[in-house]
Amino acid sequence: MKRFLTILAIAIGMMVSACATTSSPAGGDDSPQNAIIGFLDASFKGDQDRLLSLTCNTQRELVRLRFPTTTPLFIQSSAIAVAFDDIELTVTQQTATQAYISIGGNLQISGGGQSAQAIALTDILPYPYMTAVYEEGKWRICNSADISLRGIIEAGANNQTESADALLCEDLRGSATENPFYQLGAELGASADFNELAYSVTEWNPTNGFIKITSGIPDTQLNVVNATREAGEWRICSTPATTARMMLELALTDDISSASKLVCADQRETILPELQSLRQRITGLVDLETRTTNPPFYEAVAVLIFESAGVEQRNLRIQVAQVQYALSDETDESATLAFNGNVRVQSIGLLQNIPLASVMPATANMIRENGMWLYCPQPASEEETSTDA
Amino acid sequence: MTNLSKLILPFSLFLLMFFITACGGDNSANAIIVGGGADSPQGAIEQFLNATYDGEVERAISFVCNAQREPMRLLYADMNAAYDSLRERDVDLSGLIYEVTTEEVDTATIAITGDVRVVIGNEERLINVDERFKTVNLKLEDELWRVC
Repeated sequence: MKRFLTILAIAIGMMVSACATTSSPAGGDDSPQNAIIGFLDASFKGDQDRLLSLTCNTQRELVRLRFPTTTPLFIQSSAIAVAFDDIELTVTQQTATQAYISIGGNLQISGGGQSAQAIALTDILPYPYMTAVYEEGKWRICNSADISLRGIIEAGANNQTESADALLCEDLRGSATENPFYQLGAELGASADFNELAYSVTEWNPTNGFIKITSGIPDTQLNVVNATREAGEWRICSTPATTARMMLELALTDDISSASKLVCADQRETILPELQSLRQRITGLVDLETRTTNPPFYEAVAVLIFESAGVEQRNLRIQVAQVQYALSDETDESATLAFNGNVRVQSIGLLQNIPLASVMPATANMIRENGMWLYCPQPASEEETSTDA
Repeated sequence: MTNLSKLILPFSLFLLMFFITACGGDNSANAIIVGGGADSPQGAIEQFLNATYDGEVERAISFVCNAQREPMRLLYADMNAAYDSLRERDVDLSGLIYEVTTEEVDTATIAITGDVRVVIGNEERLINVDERFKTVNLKLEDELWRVC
């Protein structure tokens, strides 16, 4: 019986060597298709170790966190057998470090006292495709936003504007050659080892988030960018609101270097101290003696546990998810952004809202350079005036 | 739904979790998590408390309603200092009394009274919970009782 009905590899480019690492791979498979089959098989069998070994680095922790609570129900699955002979996996795009695989065909499920039944793979997967990345010498399953950023960089390295444009969100389509990440690829060149670039992804919700390149690029390079889902696929994007949110979140996690790259170059030096002190200024406004009113039971129990342990709990979590970003005077190149709403400061047994306007300017200018929105709080005219003076 | 389709459901849910849910952030409370719970409201509370005091957070989470699982997981990620210190202490929860105050078809409330007894060396400390746990809400989800 044939293993795949169709395997069609259409390489969109670059035969860049991807075998740089000499360290032992933590897991993965020798082809994107085998990685998918292994991932599906491990999911059915509840084999967490294998599942994790077939998951890309950026999403392994997500899978590790989610998996344990599903385990009891996987026990039911041990009563069934799943055959993958009739599934169709077609590699529609492949680069040195990533592959898009369209999904079709049927799983053959037998057991539970019934004869084999065909279940369309597309009925149980949220999208009719899967994505895989090549890292540490193996293919791993990845549905992470960084896959599109990797694509833009590698397209830049190979002068493939069309491919890069397809990975940009609708608003940015057509601007690939100006895109800083496309340009980064062009600077790195086709012979670069793209495995050197490491990524981390923060998903704000299932359709929006941001990617940070954590190593392998020059210190001066913009290393964070927004990603949004369009028709289910992650696309690289930029809006004034997402830039402001990224900057706040990065500053609050003490990644001042990345945060400051989202500030326009001529104001970066001025804004840097504000970003560096942001967390401190927020925590300075928190009343640590005020306890949460009517906390959920699990939180009240956590307070009780701290009390039982004789330990004081003051690890403050600061979230900006509730902040709203109102735009006005918006053109293609600039906008005025107003910060509304609160920063949420949370600890066990403590939840307080601090108005963001109390630690940031009420409004700020945003400008667009090479398609990317940057925080540029002081209007250009005022700055010029002050410089002239 | 056929039997086989039912069997495949947890697998599909896992894949949905992997492909759709967020790593964290504002919508993470809506993540799909399945399984867990107890046959009675009191059982859910007792098992939840035992698991949390044992430091078995994932087991404890299985006795919490879906909507609160992700926030609890995030919150309990900050509990290491407490659990480290608890290892040097003996905690006795047998002094807690659970009284079901209301029970409907799919909701219930329980009042927990009494003391948590904490012993470290020769010292004993009683922490009274009468005021803080007057009304603990529970919910019947997937035919099992969960704290909510």
